[in-house]
Formats: sequence, structure tokens, C-alpha cells
Amino acid sequence: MLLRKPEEVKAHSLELNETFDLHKKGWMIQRIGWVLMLVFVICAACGLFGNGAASREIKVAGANSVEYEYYGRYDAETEIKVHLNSMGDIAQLSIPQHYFDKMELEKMIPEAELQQVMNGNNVYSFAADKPFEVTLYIKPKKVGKIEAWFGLNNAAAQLIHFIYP
Amino acid sequence: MVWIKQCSSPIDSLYISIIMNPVVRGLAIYIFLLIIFRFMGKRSLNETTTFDFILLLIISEVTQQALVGEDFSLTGAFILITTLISVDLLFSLLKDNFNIFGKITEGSPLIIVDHGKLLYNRMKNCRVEEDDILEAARQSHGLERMEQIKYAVLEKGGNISIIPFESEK
Repeated sequence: MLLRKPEEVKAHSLELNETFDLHKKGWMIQRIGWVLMLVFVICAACGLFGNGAASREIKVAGANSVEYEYYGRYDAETEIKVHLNSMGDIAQLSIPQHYFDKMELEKMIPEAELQQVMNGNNVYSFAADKPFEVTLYIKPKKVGKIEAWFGLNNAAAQLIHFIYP
Repeated sequence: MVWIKQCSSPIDSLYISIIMNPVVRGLAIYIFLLIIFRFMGKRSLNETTTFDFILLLIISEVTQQALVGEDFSLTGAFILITTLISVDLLFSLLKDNFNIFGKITEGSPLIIVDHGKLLYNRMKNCRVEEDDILEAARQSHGLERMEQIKYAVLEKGGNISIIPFESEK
């Protein structure tokens, strides 16, 4: 679809090859390109490439929950917020070790009182007498689909990410 | 005590190596920029308004980050520079040998004024204004009016060449 039908120049004295048909095709492709660019920007603004409403996921496991970004980009930092209930005076977060093959943990706030490795999982224990939030700052180091089951006290929640290159 | 790290699959590692390879990144960004600038149109290459200047500054910063990432080594820089120059050379050779390739990647000239008459629809499709043509006419030949222009041609690079009636005499 062109803006307007372009005029033909039937004859001219210039030694010039206009390739007018190619111009017309080019203008049409250009319009399609503009639409694709707009769609790309809208999708990005909505979070289809991370950092947006379309990317936010919340997984609930009993009285605990995890809030994270489904879509991410390679080496671009993202957050996981874990809402943990207290089991008396302690709370535990368990993350499989294979998750850290694909995601680099930059920071954990607050830091765990105790870190253990049990059955292929990193287990973080927090001293807590009421519900609280742990924020993990992570950077994807692999692209594609990444799945992991997080242990939230005695419950579990599955996190699934899709990481763009 | 021996700790055995769980290894990721060899295919995953190979895939990551490929996409992180500076040659692949350089190629991908070069081709992406080529396509995006073609979508922008010829005039965008030539215009030097404040908006375009800012855009070019920001694009260069963003591109640099994507190309280099966290690799600040000399070797990485040499690889990227060589890759980009090689691609440019390859495209240049393809243009020389395949005419159509050049026309697709760089476009071809287009007449936008014919014997003083503005070809409005062509101008609209190329996003050229009458003022742009008059500016080119004044700068190149000191012309005062549109009627003095025999032909105005929008060149591949986005600049406008003017052929005045006077040069025929």
C-alpha cells in the first residue's frame, strides 16, 4: 500500500536507470516494515521481551508465593521476589543447583542465615517470625526455556522463564 | 572432598558459544541496522536535523553495548572490526557482481522534479518536501525558483541533485 500512486516519468534526457518498479516495491516493503517496527515496539512495551505487564508471573504455593518475570534477555538483570511465610521462627527457600547453571545469582536480599546443599538443591534458611520477602537479583546466562521448582518452606512452585538472546 | 558440578548439555554450551561469538554478534547487528535504515528511507540518511543527530548518537551507544558486551579485550575489538569491514567488503563485491543486490540494499536514483513540475506523489512516498528541493537548488546552483529546475533527482544517498535549465544552453 503506497501513500499515493506515484507518477510515471515516461521519457527523460537523463542517463539514469530509475528502476521505478523496484522503487514501488521498496515503498510497499517500507510501509510493511514500519508496521512491523510499531508492532515490535508495542510488544516490547507490553513486556513480551521482559520488564512489563505481559511478563509478570506469580506462582502461589500454600501461604508462600513467587513473583518473577517470565520473559528475560540474556545477561540482563531481573528480579525474583519470594514471599515466604514463617514456620515458627524459620523460613526456607530451596533452589535447584541446575538453575544456577543457567542463572547467575547477583544478590539476595536479605541474605540467608544458613546456606546448605541438600539433594541437589541450594537451601537458604532465614530466621523469621512473620511473613517476609526475599528478593533475588539474577542474570540469565543461557537462552531459551529455563524451568525450575523452587521449594518455599514445605511447598513448591515451578518457575518457567523464556530468555531471549 | 570432591565436588562434582552438574554439567550443562554440550548442545546448550555450543549454542551459547555461537550466539556470544563476536563474529555472529557483529554480523547480526550489521544486518539488523541495514534493514532498519532501509525501512527509515533515503532521506533519513541525509538529514542532519537535531532529532537525527540525537538519534545517531543514541544508536551508536546502544550498538556499542550490544557488540562489545563485557568483552573489553583487544582481541575482541580486532575481531569485531575485522568482521564489520569484511561484511562491508563482501556486500560491496556482491553489489559489483549482482546489480539487483545493490538496488535492493542501497536503492537507485529517482526523479522528483520534471521540467519544473513537482512529482508530488513520488515526493510523498520518499518523504521529500518542496523546501528540500529548493534548498538543494540554492546550494548547488544558486537557483531562485522551481521553474529553473529541469530535473531534480533524489540520489541513493538521500541527497538531491539539481539539473538546471541553464546548463543546456
